[in-house]
Amino acid sequence: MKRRDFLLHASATVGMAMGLQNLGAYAQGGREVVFNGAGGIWQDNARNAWLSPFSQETGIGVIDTFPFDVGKLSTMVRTGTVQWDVTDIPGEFLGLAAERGLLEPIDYDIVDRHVLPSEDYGQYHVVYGHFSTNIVFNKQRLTGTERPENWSDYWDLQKFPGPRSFRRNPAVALEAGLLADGVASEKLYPLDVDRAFRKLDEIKTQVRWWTSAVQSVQLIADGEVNLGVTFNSRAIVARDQGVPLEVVWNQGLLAAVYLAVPKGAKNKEGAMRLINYIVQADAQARMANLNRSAPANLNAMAKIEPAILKDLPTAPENSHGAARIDELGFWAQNRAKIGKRFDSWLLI
Amino acid sequence: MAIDLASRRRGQELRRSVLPGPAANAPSASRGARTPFLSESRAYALLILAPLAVMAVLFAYPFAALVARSFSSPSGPFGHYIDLLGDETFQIALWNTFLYALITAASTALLGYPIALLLASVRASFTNILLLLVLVPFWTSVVVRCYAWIVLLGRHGVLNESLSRIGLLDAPLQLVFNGVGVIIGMVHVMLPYMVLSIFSAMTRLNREILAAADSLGATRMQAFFRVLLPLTMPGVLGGFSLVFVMSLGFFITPALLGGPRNLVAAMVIRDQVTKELAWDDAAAASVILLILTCGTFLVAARVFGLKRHMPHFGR
Repeated sequence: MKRRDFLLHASATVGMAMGLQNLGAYAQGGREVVFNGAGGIWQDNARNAWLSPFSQETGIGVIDTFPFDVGKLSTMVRTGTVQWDVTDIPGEFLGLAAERGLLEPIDYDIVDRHVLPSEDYGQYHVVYGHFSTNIVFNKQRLTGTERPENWSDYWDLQKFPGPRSFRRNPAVALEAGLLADGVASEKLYPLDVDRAFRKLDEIKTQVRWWTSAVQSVQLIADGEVNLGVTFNSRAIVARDQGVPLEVVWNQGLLAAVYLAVPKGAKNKEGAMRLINYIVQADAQARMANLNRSAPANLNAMAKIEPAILKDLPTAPENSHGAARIDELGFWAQNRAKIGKRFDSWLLI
Repeated sequence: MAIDLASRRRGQELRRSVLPGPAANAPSASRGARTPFLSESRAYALLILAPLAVMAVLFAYPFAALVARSFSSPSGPFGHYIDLLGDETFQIALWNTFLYALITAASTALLGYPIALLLASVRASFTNILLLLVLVPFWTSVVVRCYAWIVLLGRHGVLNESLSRIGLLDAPLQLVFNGVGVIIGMVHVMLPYMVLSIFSAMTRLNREILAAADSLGATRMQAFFRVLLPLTMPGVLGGFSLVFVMSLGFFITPALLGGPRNLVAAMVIRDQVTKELAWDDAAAASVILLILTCGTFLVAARVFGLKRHMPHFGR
């Protein structure tokens, strides 16, 4: 009983402290910007690369929270208690959030869009970086001399027997299937969904489906799968920590990471100024160097250390053969339908 | 909570009737002399008002809103229900949910009973150490425990490697990322609830009854099956229902230790809320799960005579 009391008090205190921290944002009369990031090491890197320098240069304080949750965003907007001014938002939720009226249009009078390629900004979003999903393999478990070089190899159960992995999500898996079946990367869209599922049937019994990035690396590290897919930055960090894995850059599947402003954000102007700061070449390069992730602003590429650059999916020698996932076009329109089909395909 | 209160109240009645004389009568005598502002029963009624108000605001209202939401479909009040119940994915998820909860409850009862018996049989100092061993996993994060199971049960995990090293296995056993993994993980999480429930029933048991069975010539087996087991059945059934109901809401364990086929209702609801923003569907799915849970419970109460074993159940 005593211990339970203690836990109750402890959790109440922590809860109160968190509440106070959030209140702090409003106490300053909305001068500060609340930035909602992805959490973990990424959050530390964002603080060092973007948020602290922004505060120093502009005098605008930044409070950072995490993570993004589309349910939370929806509740905040509906109840008029919007806590975030800028939020990181995964591409799979961007279309849904915009459609439900949960986002503010980006103010391009403040955000200088000309520093970004034309496909990297839109009415409700700005792209701040790119990542890719790549084939990786465990060097110690792959006993033969053959090494996987593309998605056709990934599908080859003779050359590479045993389980392999995919994220439990139709995007990437369907694209990979079509590439394995010989579809050219520039002719992927609109996806031939039937053909992709047929191709996935070939390896269905040998696929371990992961749901979190941590899991994707764990599967490789534990030898649960010999071949797997994971995100480029996860793979590089794991490799540098001593996991015996190697990344196959060829036919990587590129996707973007986005920033958006919730509808009714308390400090809209501050939000736009922070977004503008983040997409400038200096901030982009600092983040790339710290987080080992690819910038959206291509002028930043020249400011990235060579040792980091060689492991980026958008570096010229790595991006050869890569395809970009059409998140805001094809997937925004077809995600619900294909998602349902994917779920029942998995079950049966 | 209600169970605890009820048994405690009965204990007090018992003590009062057992202890006659001034000890039991004195308080009421002095009370009569002072004529208090509130009678005892009215004071209790007032005390219960505060928690009732909290429950009304924090549980009853949101719950009513949830139910109302589940009926708000453009295609008629039952639109979401018809869609969901006709959806094969949801049907399979519901079936898995109940199957896993049932297997988990049964397995924890079988595994928990001997543990509780051991706890109740050893010296008090050992009981505390053993209780600690039961409780330590209880305080560990479910996510951490799932990853620990993957390390132990994986293709190249501790178990498979040791078994193949001593020559018992040709190919690794598939123990995670399937139904087996889900059950192992769920049983591990729920076992302490079962052990504590049975253990508390055993500590309440009068030991002399067992001595009496012995002196009347019962074998150890007879004493167990005809005396100990029936008398501790309320603990088993209480634990069973607790574990069963809690198991219906699992989603981390099936998500991490299961494969693509081990979908459960909570995972479907979670995706509806956090991925699709389909809250009306999520509300309907929750109501379906709730109705089926209550229904199962009522049927079980009838069939297994829960009232007989747990007289305070349903009060």
